[in-house]
Amino acid sequence: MLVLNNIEVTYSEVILVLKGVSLNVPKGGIVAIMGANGAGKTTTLKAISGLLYVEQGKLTHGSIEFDGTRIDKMNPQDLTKFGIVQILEGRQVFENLTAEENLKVAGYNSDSRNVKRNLEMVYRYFPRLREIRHNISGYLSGGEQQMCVIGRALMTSPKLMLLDEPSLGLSPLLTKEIFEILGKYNHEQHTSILLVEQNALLALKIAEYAYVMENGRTVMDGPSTKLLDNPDVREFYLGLADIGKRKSFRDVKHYKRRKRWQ
Amino acid sequence: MTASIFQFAVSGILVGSLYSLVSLAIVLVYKATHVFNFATGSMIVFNTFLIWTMIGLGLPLWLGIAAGIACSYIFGLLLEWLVLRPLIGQPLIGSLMATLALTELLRGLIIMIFSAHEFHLGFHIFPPIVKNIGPVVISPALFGGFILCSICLIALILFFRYSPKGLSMRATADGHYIAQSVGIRVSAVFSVTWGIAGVICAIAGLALMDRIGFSIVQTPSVVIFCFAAVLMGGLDSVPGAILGGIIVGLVSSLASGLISSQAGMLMPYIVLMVVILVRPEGIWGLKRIERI
Amino acid sequence: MRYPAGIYNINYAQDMSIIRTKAHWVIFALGMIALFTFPLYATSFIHIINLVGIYVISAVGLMLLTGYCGQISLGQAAFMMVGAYTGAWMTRAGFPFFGSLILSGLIAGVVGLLFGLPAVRVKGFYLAMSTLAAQFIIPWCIIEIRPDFTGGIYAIRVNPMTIFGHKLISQIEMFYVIIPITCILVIFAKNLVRTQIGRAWVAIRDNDLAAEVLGINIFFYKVLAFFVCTFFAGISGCLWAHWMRNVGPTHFELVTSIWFLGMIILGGMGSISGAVVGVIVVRILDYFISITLPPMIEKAFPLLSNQIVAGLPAFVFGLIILLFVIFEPRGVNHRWEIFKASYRIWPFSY
Repeated sequence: MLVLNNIEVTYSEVILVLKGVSLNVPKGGIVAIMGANGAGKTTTLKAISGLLYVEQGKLTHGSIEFDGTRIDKMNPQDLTKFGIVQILEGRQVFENLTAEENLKVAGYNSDSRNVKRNLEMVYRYFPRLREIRHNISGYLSGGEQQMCVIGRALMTSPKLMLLDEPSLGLSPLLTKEIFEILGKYNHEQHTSILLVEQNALLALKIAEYAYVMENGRTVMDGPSTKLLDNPDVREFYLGLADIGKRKSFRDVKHYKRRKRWQ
Repeated sequence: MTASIFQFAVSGILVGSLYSLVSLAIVLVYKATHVFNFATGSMIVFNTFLIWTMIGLGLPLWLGIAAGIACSYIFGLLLEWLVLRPLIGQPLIGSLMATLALTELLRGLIIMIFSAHEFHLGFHIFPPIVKNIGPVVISPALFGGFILCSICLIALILFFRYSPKGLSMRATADGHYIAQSVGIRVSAVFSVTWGIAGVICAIAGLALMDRIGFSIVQTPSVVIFCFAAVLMGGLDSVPGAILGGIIVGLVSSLASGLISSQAGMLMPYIVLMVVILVRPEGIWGLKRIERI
Repeated sequence: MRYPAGIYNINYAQDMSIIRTKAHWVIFALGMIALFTFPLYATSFIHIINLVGIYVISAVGLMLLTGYCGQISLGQAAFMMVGAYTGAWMTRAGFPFFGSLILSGLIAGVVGLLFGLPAVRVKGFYLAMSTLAAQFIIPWCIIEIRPDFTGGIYAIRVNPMTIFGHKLISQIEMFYVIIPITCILVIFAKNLVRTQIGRAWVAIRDNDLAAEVLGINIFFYKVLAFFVCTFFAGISGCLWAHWMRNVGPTHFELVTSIWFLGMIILGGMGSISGAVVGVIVVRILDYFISITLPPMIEKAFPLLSNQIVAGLPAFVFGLIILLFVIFEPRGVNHRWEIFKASYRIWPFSY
């Protein structure tokens, strides 16, 4: 459904951040991108949703195709109507609007004919939002804001959701709840999800396929079950040396162990 | 003595409605585009001339006014497209100088086309319905202006609260990029905001036109009351602008009545300085938390 | 700054120098000679040169505050007014001219300092509003407080400059007082920005929070910038009053402050020479609009000519500033730098 073909992204015309990234998101599937900070994961998402220009970024090479149409030149508003929505990092709600107004404004501007229906759907998935819908969203707790932001994206009736670190700053229980809801949504509505997540274990649990990015390149990809078993991924991203065994600090010598993809 | 205090207070509040309306125009533009529109004064005069020209073309009064207001909307769109669009992303001094330059440009343009004389309509738009409230005498123009501005304010508040377009505009004010990521066409929001600002300036000019006549020399000084009101209420606060306008109107009127008319003219600047020294973000404004 | 091939800086003094090579010295000397012998070959333009010199002082002051320290001031004309009136009163009371000149500068500096005090709490846009308030409060004080002494809204006459008892009446005589003062102050400003103070100002302009974290006392330097700027404005105002021979509130309105900001943007913010260039360009523009154009307009539009002539300076000025802000916000100076760079590296660089 979404095909990234060898894309290169440059910031301020001098800083090369993505050095030829290719990935594929099948229809109705969940794909995760993992990697350390600065690997270029958010840049990949912004390249897809058209928000690179905000930080003087440009797609200098390669192409992005969605259902066969090239989307790299489209602006963010049109992309939303096209069915691709990005949930930005950091729970960015419209602070002075109430939770319900946050949801409504997204509805009016993308899928304006189904606003009422979508609103009910969002409240069904996030019952907590119905309780707080008249509260000013700037004053909501972190978890409620994240639900609001995800709900806002759901109001646009997306075909593809780009999630940027949804678990950032949330408690583990709430993160589990949100991921469960995301999984349910994907299962029922067949919306594709491209997920960038630092919490590698959680990401690999919900996704069917995953990519590992480092320094602007994808260094490994595969079905998440295979990645869960891969010793490099276990060592560097999941914190497990040998299967199940506790790690002794004496063994933490990274120079002794090189990643197989280097 | 008490009667005259009451007189000044009431007329101050009535005039304050005009300041509130224009302050709202400034706050709307600032909230959406983060540009402080210094050219508001010249815009008021220019749009008033548009209405005056439309009326002068021989159209019936209400049609002329409506046509003038429509032209003012288009003028606002034009200003946004020509001047503000190229300046998105530039530092503060860029947009500041642009609106200042615009003030001068419009001033020159108005003098060239219409001359610097004071213009009067020659007849009154507002019928003399209410002459006095108790011991207080009110001129029909002042009262008419008050009603007009209040209706406008209420209409705008309702628009922003309940209509989808108004909601989109409020959302854009909270974050341009988030707004884009949910499908809001931010450039359209900017245009409409300036269009509405143009309409507000026209309506304010209408209120002034009936009361004291208008000229490029005198009228722009009205706008300094609005600057004081906006800063006092908070640059990004709509209720702050409205209340600020009324308070500034009240205070100036009392000062000019009880102390001297010169004191009344100085009042807005005193208010400005006090606000900047004591609480620069305004009484209702949001305190900006800055991160390096 | 790009130097020709073979010129290298091997010590700090060389790196910081304003005039580096022998060629520069020659040009500088020739320029100075040309400047000081101006009356010999351009007698009809002397009064314009005098006015340019006076405005350059004020523009340089504003450049220090806005271009180097990043604080926008909308009240430059009001501070000039303080200097102008102070100078006028002092010479009327019999004080020597140079004494009144320095005193007007100092008093204008103190007034500017007071209006710059809000810098401790606000910055950027709000500071600009504070100077806007100054632009109205100061004339109000002069007009309303003791109008019998200040002349109120009417202009007051100013005595001519007197040096050691000799009255300077003609433009040429005044030229030889104004231009040296301008040169001294410009050189002073150019040196000021090379010092720690100048560097602190630039740091504050670029990121004042980071500057404060590094230990720069931003409040002190901001207030200092206000003081220096208004000191220059005061001196400029005093000179202007004695050149014009009368001074009134209408000469120092908000429009004038905006003109000054326009001058430094046109010239190019961030360099002293930019201020000089800006003043010259605006003066030439103003001359062209006010003197050469009106006769042509009278012929073209005989009916509306009065209005058009009255409105044209504001219109053209606003338009040019707008175009510059949109298309070349770094001013004429930047274009000149690009031009110099391009002829230096043509056809190839060493």
